[in-house]
Amino acid sequence: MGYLIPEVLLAGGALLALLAVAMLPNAKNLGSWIVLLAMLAAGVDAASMWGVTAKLIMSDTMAIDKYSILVTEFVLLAGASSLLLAWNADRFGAELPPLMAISVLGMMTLGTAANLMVVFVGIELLSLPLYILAASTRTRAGGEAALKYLLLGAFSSGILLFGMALLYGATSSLTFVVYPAITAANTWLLWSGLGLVLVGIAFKLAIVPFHMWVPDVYEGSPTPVTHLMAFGTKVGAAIILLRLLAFGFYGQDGSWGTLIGYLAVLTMIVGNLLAVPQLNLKRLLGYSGIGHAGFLLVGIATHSVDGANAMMFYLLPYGLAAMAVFGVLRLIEGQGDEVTLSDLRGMAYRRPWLAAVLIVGMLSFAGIPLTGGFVGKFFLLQAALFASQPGLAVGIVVGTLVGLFAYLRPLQMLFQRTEVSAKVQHLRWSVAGAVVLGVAVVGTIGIGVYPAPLVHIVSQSANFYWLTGG
Amino acid sequence: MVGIFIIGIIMLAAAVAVIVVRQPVHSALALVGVTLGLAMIYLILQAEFLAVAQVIVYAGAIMVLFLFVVTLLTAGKEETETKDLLSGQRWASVITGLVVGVGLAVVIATHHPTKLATSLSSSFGGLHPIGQELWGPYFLLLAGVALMLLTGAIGVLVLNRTEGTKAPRSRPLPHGVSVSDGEGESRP
Amino acid sequence: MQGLTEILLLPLFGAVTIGAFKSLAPKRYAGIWASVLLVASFVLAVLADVHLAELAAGHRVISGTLFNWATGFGPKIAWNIYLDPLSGIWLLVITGVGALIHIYSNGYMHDDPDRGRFFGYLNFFIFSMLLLVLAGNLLVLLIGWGLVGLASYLLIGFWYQRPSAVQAAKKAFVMNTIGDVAILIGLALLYFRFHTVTYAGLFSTFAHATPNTAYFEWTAVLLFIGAMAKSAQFPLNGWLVDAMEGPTPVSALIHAATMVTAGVYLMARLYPLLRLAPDVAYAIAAIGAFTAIYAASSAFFQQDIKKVLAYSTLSQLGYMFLALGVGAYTAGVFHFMTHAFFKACLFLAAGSVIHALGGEQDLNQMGGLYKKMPWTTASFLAATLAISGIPPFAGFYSKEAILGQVFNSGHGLLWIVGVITAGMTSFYMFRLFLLTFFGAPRNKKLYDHAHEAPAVMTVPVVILGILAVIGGFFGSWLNGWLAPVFRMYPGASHAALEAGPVFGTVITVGLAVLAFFIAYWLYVLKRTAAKAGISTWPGKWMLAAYGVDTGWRNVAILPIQVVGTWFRDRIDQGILAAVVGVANGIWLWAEDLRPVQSGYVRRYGLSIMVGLGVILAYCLTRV
Repeated sequence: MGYLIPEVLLAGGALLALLAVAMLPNAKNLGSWIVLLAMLAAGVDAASMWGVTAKLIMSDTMAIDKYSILVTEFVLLAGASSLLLAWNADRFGAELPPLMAISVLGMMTLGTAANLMVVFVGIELLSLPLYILAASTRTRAGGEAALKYLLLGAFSSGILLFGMALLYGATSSLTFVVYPAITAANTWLLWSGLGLVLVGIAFKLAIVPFHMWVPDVYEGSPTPVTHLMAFGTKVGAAIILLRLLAFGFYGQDGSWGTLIGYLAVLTMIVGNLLAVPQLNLKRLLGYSGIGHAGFLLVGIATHSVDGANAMMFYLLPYGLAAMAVFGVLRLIEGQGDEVTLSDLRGMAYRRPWLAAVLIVGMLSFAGIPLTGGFVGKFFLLQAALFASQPGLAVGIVVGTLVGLFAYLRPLQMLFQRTEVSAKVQHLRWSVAGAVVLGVAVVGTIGIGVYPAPLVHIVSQSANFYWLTGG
Repeated sequence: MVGIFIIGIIMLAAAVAVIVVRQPVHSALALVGVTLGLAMIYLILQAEFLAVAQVIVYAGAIMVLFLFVVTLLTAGKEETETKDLLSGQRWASVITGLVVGVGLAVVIATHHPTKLATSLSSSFGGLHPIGQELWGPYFLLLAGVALMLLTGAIGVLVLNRTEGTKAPRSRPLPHGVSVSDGEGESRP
Repeated sequence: MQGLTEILLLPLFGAVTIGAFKSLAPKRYAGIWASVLLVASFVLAVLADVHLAELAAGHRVISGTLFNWATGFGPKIAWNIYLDPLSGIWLLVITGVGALIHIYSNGYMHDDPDRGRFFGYLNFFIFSMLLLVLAGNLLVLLIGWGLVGLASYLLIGFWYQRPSAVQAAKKAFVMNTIGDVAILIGLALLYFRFHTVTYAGLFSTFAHATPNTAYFEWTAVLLFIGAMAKSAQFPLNGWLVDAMEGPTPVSALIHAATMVTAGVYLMARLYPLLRLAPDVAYAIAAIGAFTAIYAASSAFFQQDIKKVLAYSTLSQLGYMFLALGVGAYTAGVFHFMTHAFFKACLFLAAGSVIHALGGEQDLNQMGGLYKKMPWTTASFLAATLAISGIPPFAGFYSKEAILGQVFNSGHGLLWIVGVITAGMTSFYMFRLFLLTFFGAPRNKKLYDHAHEAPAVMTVPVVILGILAVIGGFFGSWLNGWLAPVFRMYPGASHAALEAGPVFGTVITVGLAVLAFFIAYWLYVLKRTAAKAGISTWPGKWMLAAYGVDTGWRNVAILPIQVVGTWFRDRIDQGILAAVVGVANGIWLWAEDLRPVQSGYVRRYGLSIMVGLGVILAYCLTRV
């Protein structure tokens, strides 16, 4: 039972924070502090389990291995950075920290899931707080975002659940570990069930054509929440997709590999293409997130250890770049919820350091050398080519080139001398924001220059195929 | 077997009615038909507890809540259909819905039914076995669901908060003092 | 690793410390500090080469790993360091000539207020160049390759107040980037086929590969394009002449002695690959020969002392590529070495002249300087004799080695081109020498102020002049030194130096002497002005290097500009409309680009349903 201490700590932190904000409404940041400490404690505890041998717990419904531990660390980073971005901001409401903690708990659950029911609980636990958080500023855009997210999320959850039912009917089991033995019997029931489950997860991951909620929801939600959606949700959905396909349906790669490959190419190109004309930065990042989901799918589609490694690896540079960009956005937006391209005008002269952070983040998104994003894309490209799938490689290259155009447009704005936008002139640094930006920049460049440690960690974590049941 | 088919057809009709009738109240009533049909299927499958819970929770509590909300919100209001800005959408959804639905129906119908080789007892569906499963191996999931319900409750509070109680009042700052770790959030 | 790490890191350390402390310490310390570090680097390089020489002939390799770059996924990639006799030669030249040029720069840049930045860049360049040469795999080489390009860009644009310098720096950067991209693609081709980038790993696989397949041809072509860009071979030659906008020591170090020979190094290093792509090898020889004669003729009418030297660099690089193309690897490396001596000497001596004349570079303002600057004149003369191929100076031996082997390998036409170029070289070099140092002073005022450079500048020039005299005698030593490198893998059966036909030597030397007399007659006896003939049509053409630059502008730059302007002007309408149009074309996502409107949530759901239907259909066909 000791394996679930991080989850328990986080749940306890959420409940305690909820009590605290109810009892002491005037204590500033109390809830945030409690949740942050709970996250730190969970992170430390999860890290201390690193030497664990892979095992299944709770009647084979949950897997504890280095994969789940790494996922825990990733989503805790996402959660903590989102929390820090919302630091001191009363307008998001005192309930934000506990809700974020519950959402992160859902992501952690997905990391350990080895059973379809756990997957469902994880996804819902992840989504429900986000529906509420999207509307937490109670603006019109926020309300619309929340409603859309809720409606479509419920729709996709229905599809997911239906798929799980079909899978259960075909295999008489909800547990991944027994699938490799059963799935040898190919039936329509099995594959349509898998298809529906794929759709349900693809919705959360924002794969084209299930992506259409993303820009609206990203735009309407408060920036810290958007960051959590962009980083945390993507981690959760991507890793559960990898675990389900590469672990449960290990031998059937011919059936799902091609499908995921097509979706990956479509997503990479459409996402990056639609990012180009955006004027609102959060919308732009929404489409960029869609494009990055396509890159993540490449790792799954190759169905190789290299691919799984590359996908796991890519998550961190992506998340760090998101931290950098959303962190800057959070500082620029001040009291508002919206940052447009023209709000960046003249930043390079007025706020050179902040502009530098934004440049680092954007270049990492674009995949320019010496940033983590480049290394991540390189590993994905390598995985695609080693798996003899040149189509995927071409998709990566085309997507990256289109994306480059999308990311350079905002950067161009930074150097416009004509006038400095009002938001840039009035922005104020915050300690919490500076911490997030510092971690993001150091991490992005660190991974870009010296990726070996992360490569080492990831390569240990993403080899879970051979975990046998029992 | 025949009973299940008949109930299925009734449920399908009720479900279609939920989305095609114009009055929200009628929709809610049609939904009662769906939930009752589901309860009957549970009964046929000898899951008495689930059947009873279905009736009490869904047909009873939730439906009543729906009806209250619907009547409170729409009382005396004229239902207006917004114009569909995107032509052909309705037909497209009907067609895709039919294709997917028929496809799934064919898949399930052609599936050669075998008894599922699960470890569940034949009396599963009664109060006792369900309780044992829920509080035994799936206890953590139950806890997760509890957290979800809690989240729902918080959500209601957050979304219904009035502006006045939204944020604790912050101290007004003396002129010329800047907040070092603030980010301009403190209102003057 | 026998001090290789220190050799590599000393200049980097210098660059970092100078960058960090340049505003704190007195200005002159930057130059002294940079020079001291480089001399130390040179000493270590000599020791490393001595150690290398002590190893058994078959195992003359010192290799090591600085640190692992990435391990775990697929092949390992590490910062491999690799020293063999081939890189040993480059190592000596880079640190040795580099140290001399650093010392010289202390005098040359004495009055520049921004000396600290200059020496920081210069040390950074040396570090990058050493990284390129000491790289143990192609990836590290490419990183060094990119960094030297960056250093070159920074140093060409060192006087960034001059628009022409900035323009030249940009041009160099763009052309080099073309090469970098080509190398990157070539490297990717190699990596994804052989799953390794280390020299040893690649070359041992090449030994068993079938020659002449399209794959190897393409890879070799791509890598050669990279070498062409760095070594300014036709048609990517335009940037090198413009690069003379940088300070003269930079021209001597980067754009004559070291960086531009990186292409030669790469091709010599990749000889196992060239074996597999014989057509590319022939193309290298042909392009080299063409560049040699093209650049030599372009030098005829140049009015700027540095531009003449720039074209002569192009021409000599052409010789080196000619040698590599016909498989005369040792001859190519030999010519690289002697060229580094005499060309560095020429540039530094020209720098002394420019320094003495207060920045004047126009040949029409010079003349008669031998009385004022005896040491510079003597060194310049030695280097001129060397480059013209007059025995027994350095250039004679290396050029003869190349031409003889071209003849032996049966490339008659290329040989004729090479011989004619040798005569042309002699003509334009003596024209330059005579116009600068002999005849009557053309600008009395400048002449009166001229003076011999200080010792800190003259000593390096004289040392290089002496090397230009004796450099040719290293030939047989070099032959033995490099032999193990070219015996290691198949593909370099003719790498060793060979003696050419005697009549060839007679013709070449005869042409060179004849050209000297013509130049003497024209520019000393008849006192022809430097600018004579530039208004006639061959003069115009040659002065403009046959319009290659204009050609680039018309063929490549203008269309890109037009397209770019078209894009920029329509960025708000054209591109956006195009993207919106694409999205509109996909009926489902038509409203994606529109503002938030909750009515559309149905559409989003419909999109999901369509996707679901497609995926379901796909899954069902898979059973």
